[in-house]
Amino acid sequence: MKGILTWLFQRIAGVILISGLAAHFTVMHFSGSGRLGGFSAELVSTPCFNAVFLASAIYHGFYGLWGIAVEYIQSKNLLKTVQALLFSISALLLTAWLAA
Amino acid sequence: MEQYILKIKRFDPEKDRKPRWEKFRIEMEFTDRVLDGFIKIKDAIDGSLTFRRSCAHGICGSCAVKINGKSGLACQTIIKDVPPGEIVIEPLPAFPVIKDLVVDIEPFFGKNREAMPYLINNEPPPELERLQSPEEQEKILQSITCIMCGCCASSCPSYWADKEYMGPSALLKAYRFIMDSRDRALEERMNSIAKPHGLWRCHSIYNCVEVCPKEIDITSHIAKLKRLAVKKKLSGFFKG
Amino acid sequence: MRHKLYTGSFAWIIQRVSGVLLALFLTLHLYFMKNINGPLGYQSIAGMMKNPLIKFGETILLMVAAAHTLNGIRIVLLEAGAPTRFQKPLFYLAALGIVVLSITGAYSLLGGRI
Ligand code: SF4
Ligand code: SF4
Ligand code: FES
Repeated sequence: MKGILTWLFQRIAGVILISGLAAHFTVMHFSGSGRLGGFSAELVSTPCFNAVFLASAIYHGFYGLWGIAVEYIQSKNLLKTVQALLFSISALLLTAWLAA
Repeated sequence: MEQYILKIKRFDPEKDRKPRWEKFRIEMEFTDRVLDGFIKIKDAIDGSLTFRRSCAHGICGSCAVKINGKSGLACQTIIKDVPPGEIVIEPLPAFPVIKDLVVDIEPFFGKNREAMPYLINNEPPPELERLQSPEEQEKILQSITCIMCGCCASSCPSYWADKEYMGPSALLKAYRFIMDSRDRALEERMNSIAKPHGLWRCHSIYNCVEVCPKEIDITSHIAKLKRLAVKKKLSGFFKG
Repeated sequence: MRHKLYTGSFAWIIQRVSGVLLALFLTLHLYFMKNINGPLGYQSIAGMMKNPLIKFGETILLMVAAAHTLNGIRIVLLEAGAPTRFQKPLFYLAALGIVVLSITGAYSLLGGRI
């Protein structure tokens, strides 16, 4: 059996993103206006929140592209190359941001 | 009797380099079926028109074609149910064309074979037969009614794109045996569908459900298989 | 003649296109944000954010994200066992939500107050 957990994580990451994105958007755009309580602003800026949110976003985005590649690219070699590329870009983005 | 125009996409591998359209004017009763139109054309206008049919009663699954942009059985589509005017007929999409409306269904059947469409049970058979209760049968009743016509696969966007995707009917076939109380090959069957070109290529688009002439709720069957795969995987973790 | 597209196909096309756009945006966003250092860089970004073109872009982003999110919830529900007879109503509900979110979002982003 293959691809079960990766598929499941795609849904889980999606659900994490929905809650995270709402917080991210509100804080980024309205925090200056004083309409937001300190609590959510604090929560959104914790390293843990950031890491989970970031990882979910990268995973969700790149798993999606991965699936599209599996579906549309017929040549095995090209598919392998594209998948390697997708994997490296996502890994690079993740480490660059987590290392900071 | 009324005049109808059947616009048919034709292809003769011995003469044509690419498919061509041909229009046929025929008289039909509004209670006739699209298949009756084909037969009339073949009998009276052009004997070279090539199409498949055997039962002519929606049972064998051999007359599936694309009618006005929708995959369906020619023998089950009544003239009065298609919009008046020209009726556009094409071979099933995503299947290689052999001649006119006849397509190569071998790749499609091959994918159904991937799903091991036969009962696997190594236990010694009982005296008479392997029994199944009505409740147990209820679980697979819908999936049993599949006639392997290929309408579902030929209308699935994932199937169009991914030449290796098993497709809706093969997954439905897997469901039919996975949920069969007499079958004992759950493990192998899950392996045959939980793979990159299996379950995970279904994005719940519901095109298959829209066209299935047997009105099978294919997508919900596939979704059940996805959940079963997850359940199996997670329970495997907890057991060690 | 193209094969007929039904409600579910539209939902899927929207999901595909918005997904690719969001993945693209995410990559660029992460790449550029990583490369701004110090208060100077930050100020230039803050200045850029006031640019009407960027504001417009943000509004589009919000719409695309709303579409992907609500459509995504629909798919998760359906695959989690919501019956097929709900697939179309759920799409209409999602579409309504997308329109509402887009309008309110655009209004607040483009300077109005709600
Ligand atoms: S599931 Fe329906 S459309 Fe698909 S092969 Fe079976 S009968 Fe035909
Ligand atoms: S529901 Fe799944 S199998 Fe059916 S048409 Fe859509 S992607 Fe294909
Ligand atoms: S001829 Fe048998 S299903 Fe149409």
